[in-house]
Amino acid sequence: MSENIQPILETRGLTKHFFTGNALSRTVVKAVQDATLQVYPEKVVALVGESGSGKSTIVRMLAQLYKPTSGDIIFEGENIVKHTSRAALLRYRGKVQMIFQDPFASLNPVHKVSYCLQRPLRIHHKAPPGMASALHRQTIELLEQVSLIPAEDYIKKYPHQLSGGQRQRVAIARALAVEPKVILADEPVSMLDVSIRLGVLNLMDRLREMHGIGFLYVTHDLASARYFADEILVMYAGWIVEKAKSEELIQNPKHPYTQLLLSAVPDPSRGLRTAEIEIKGEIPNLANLGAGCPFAPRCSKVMEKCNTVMPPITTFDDGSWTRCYLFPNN
Amino acid sequence: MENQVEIKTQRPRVTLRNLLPEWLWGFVRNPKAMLGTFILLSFVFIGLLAPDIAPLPERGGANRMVGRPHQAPDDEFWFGTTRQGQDVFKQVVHGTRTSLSVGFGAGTIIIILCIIVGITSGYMGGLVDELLSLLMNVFLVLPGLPLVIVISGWVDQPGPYTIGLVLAVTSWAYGARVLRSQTLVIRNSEFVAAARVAGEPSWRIVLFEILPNMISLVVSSWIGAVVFVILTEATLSFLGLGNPNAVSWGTSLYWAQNNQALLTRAWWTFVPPGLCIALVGFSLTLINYGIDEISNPRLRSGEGG
Ligand SMILES: Nc1ncnc2c1ncn2[C@@H]1O[C@H](COP(=O)(O)OP(=O)(O)O)[C@@H](O)[C@H]1O
Ligand SMILES: [Mg+2]
Repeated sequence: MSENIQPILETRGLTKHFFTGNALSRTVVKAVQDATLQVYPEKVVALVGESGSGKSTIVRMLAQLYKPTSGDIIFEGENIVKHTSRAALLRYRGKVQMIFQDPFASLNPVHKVSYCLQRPLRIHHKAPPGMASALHRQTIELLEQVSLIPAEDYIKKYPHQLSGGQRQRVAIARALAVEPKVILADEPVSMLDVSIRLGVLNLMDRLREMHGIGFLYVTHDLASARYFADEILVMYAGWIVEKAKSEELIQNPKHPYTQLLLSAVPDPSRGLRTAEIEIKGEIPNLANLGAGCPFAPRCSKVMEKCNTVMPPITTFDDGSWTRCYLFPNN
Repeated sequence: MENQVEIKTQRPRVTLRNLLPEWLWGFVRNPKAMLGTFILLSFVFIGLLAPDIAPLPERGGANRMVGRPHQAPDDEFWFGTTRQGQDVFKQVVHGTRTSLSVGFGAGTIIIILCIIVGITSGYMGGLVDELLSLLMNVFLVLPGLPLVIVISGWVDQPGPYTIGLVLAVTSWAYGARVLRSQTLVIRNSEFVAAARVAGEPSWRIVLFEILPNMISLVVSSWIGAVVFVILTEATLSFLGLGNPNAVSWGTSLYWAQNNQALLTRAWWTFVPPGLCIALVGFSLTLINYGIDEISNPRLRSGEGG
């Protein structure tokens, strides 16, 4: 899809190791390893994987909440891992925003909706200073953009007076307040009622189109990724194992793990399903991963070398790629 | 008639409920909190108006001999006199002033130290946390009361305010640890991450995102500290470790015991100050129970679930 468009946000070899335990027994959790991904303006790239595979860790590195262990994050051509001044960070936050998984935890219970939305407006000088009326008008506009109408009714409410779907819309409005170019959405609908998920996905799609926002959409639900995303990345135990355009990935999965995922969703062509990924076998413990492919113990086509070295990326003509020895590098 | 009332209440009116923030409304409706507040405010009132309620002679103050020794309560001396012929009522009224100001003064110093050390430690983490945790642990294992007694002896008959200050400096560590662990929990919550993503600076995250979520904990720790200081100051004065010429409830009890009030059946010399200490402690504890019930809905009584 990206023949001549430049990615707005990309990572190269992004890696995150968590060091836990005490001085006596130190364990390293290899949460993300050598992750390479691109987010394009006005496009949606989905990151799909089971719980614990490292999706949130990638998102939090991209949101500059975690510092990468190694690797680069490039935004608008600049490596932001190297620019760590407060001013640079603030500029980045004015362009890359995040939506959290749990709308019950991501809004501070002590603040009204108006406070939530006006803080980013003030911090990033989106309203002329000292103009209370302009601030109010912008807050109303934000609420209207996320279809919380009549906006005047919502502005004075506390989070506990709102439903999960309404809260998530407030969280989306908060991300929207800074007029971002990229939104990182970490499982934005997984905590919501099944009946309202589609509405929130459609809202994000409308905002993408209206403002030209690029989305990184994290999910454990392949069907919703197919519905919303142009491109899908499949993640397993800290590794991104396959990337392809959505239709291609669903119709012609290459990596054995992707095939397993698809077999767990009975019939993805029947539209948006909410079946969660069924876990067959054990998800490996990220704390003591060997050097080989983490999927090898569950893989039906496992070869000897799978257990020793992680396969490199094999790229195909259409730009899709996978990490699997079934597809030798040529 | 009843219908009219119905219609009236449906119109938006300025009621107490609409005017007060939600937590304050919860406080106002909580019987324990309200009873505690009523008792406490009565004492605060007495303390503030002490010079008007019980005017003092120019020389000698509340300790001046004004009557015969050990007079029982009557029209002239409402609470009787001590063996030194001092007016017990005057002593108790002015003792209210001392005990409350020492209690709230030292209690406030304690909670400020708790907030500064506890929240800084919990929020900053890393080396700062380790150093402050070490400091907290040192103060935790310091034997507080013996230390106060030693310092009291060293300062030589410290007044109630000196005792309060020593108590404040030696007793903040436990509360600081509680606030630190609460800060650790809140710091990792998603709304703090969201505030950071929005671009909030750290000081605003601490003051406007984290601290407001700990208000009930801070207030109840503060009240706990006030109770602790009032009771401990009274105890130390009673044991004779303070200045025997000070006017405080503890000192009154010290003199009552010194003059063998139990043997001489001069009950009026120890019942009023003792009752005052008990009532103030009771009222503050009631307020704390009330706050607990308001902030923890599972404890809420009389609301059907
Ligand atoms: N702050 C942290 N400290 C230590 N380990 C963590 C931390 N955050 C995540 N992890 C670990 O990293 C792995 C990936 O977690 P996460 O990125 O949250 O996965 P996902 O979002 O795909 O469910 C998990 O094993 C998790 O326990
Ligand atoms: Mg996650």
